[in-house]
Amino acid sequence: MASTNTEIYRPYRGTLSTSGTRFLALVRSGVSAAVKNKLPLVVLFAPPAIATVIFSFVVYARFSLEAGAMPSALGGPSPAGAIAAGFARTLIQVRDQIALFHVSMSYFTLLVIAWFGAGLIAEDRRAGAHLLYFSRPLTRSGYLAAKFLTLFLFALIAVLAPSLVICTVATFASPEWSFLKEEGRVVPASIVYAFLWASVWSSVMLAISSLFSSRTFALVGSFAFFAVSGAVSVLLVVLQRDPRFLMLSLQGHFQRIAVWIFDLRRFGHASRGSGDHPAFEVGWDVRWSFLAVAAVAGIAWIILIARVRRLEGST
Amino acid sequence: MSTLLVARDLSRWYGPVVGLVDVSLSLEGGIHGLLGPNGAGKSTFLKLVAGEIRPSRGSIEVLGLDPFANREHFAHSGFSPQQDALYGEMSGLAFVTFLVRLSGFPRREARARAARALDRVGLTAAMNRRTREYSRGMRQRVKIAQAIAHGPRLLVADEPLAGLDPVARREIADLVLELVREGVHVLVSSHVLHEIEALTSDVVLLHRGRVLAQGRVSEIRALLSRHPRKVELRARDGRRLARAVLELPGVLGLRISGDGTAVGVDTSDLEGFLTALPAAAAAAQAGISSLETPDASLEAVFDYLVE
Repeated sequence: MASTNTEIYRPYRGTLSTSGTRFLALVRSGVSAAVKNKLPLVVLFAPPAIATVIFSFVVYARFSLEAGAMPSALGGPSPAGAIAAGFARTLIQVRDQIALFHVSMSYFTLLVIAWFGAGLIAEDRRAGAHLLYFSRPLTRSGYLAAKFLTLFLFALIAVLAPSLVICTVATFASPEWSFLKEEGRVVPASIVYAFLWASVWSSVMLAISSLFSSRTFALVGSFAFFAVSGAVSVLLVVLQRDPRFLMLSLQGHFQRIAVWIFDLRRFGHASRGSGDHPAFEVGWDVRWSFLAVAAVAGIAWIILIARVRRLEGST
Repeated sequence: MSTLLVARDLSRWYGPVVGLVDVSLSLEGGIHGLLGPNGAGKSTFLKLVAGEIRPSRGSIEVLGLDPFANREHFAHSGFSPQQDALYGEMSGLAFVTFLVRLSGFPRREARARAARALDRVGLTAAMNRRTREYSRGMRQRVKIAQAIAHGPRLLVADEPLAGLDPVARREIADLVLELVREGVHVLVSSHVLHEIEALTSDVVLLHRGRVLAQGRVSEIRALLSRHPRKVELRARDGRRLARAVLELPGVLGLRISGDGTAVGVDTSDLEGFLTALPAAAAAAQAGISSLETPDASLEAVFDYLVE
């Protein structure tokens, strides 16, 4: 090996990058390592993809039926007056469907976050990979940013892409861009909700990952967190018949935020409140949910920063 | 020769656990071995040198720079940690390339350097395979490759020979020595004494976070005057040889084996003894067939120091 190769290393004459975005190399490597294993990708992303296709078809069918564009076998064209009324109803239904799809898919996307996020820091700790990073000009904050971005990308793709696809279908299926004109705010609402959801859950998952030095334990820890907070709150809701117990879970707060962001007309735990939107009041002010979500994200980042600082203390 | 590193009252602890205590030493350029049992503080010292961790107390300068989180230091040093540290799903080439990119190299240059470094450690044929398929020796080579790919002036290698088979050990040792010949400073640790002896005789002996001794093995041994030096002789007529060597300078004791062919000598003046021995043996016609100084080895020195 060594005796046959006498090449002398030449010092690099170019300029080394001092840009703060060098951590993007770590993001690329994280994404690249994650997508190398195809089976989990297929297993985790196939259901949202299938659901997206089905919902897209349903949305397309709704507009087509209203427009009388469906084949006569499905009922033929509607009378002109009914069409006008039907469009307004359909636009709202489609908007609500997109929002509910968003909320229900976000539960499923927790699996994506858990799978891809569990090992991000835990495996580095187990293998000692951080020792390779920190002997290079990569700061702790760069390391954290890279890990966060890696997971955030997966979460965002999983939660945002399907709703954007459905919005696109609704836009093109609705006559004269009526969906975009009347309910166009669903698109920015989806983006805002997805960014909020992906960033908070990515932070939580990374914090859990940083607490363990094995991917398996981090996975177990994350499911324990999801299950305990979610299941306990739902159980209390059922037992006490009070939807406000959903406040005990992060998922519950995201439901509440979704109701507010998408201005949902119908929601599962409706019926208690009164006021502007009595039918979909969920029992507490949305500001509490924003506060709770911010607090959880804040705690997650405090844990993350403390744990990454302690990485240098591992022997 | 330029100064490689200077440590002053260097201490590092992890909560209540002490890693390194009041280490003060100065090393010149070249290759140095860091020796000590597990938990002696070797890895802590190397991480301080590599700039991975900051001292709890005291200071360290490496090639004139404070190493911790120092971009300039990182450009000049490469670190091969003891831990496995590889991403199993990535190929050796992709892994080293991305680490070189983290050092700030442009993509194309990083890839070229990674390929060269992997070639240098003998992994050209396997560099596109996933690292999880690599043997332990190959993984060790990838760690060395990533540490030298950016052309550092200092290589810090923590237990680079651990767990390797003899052939792989020889190859890694040859590579390290070749780097030294090219002018790269090397700091290498091991708890296996003969591994270090094969690389260098300049050592730092650590035990329980403290420096026991520093320098060339022979010089350190010479300082241990309270331990008489041992000489093992084999001769055709050991009893006659024993009578002859009793007269020699510094002889403190003698042992003769049951069959009378092996003679053990304890002497306080090894150099004088070895100078006078040939003449004495010739006069006694004892027929010496072998001579060994077993406690001149690093292991013996270490045993004396920690006892």
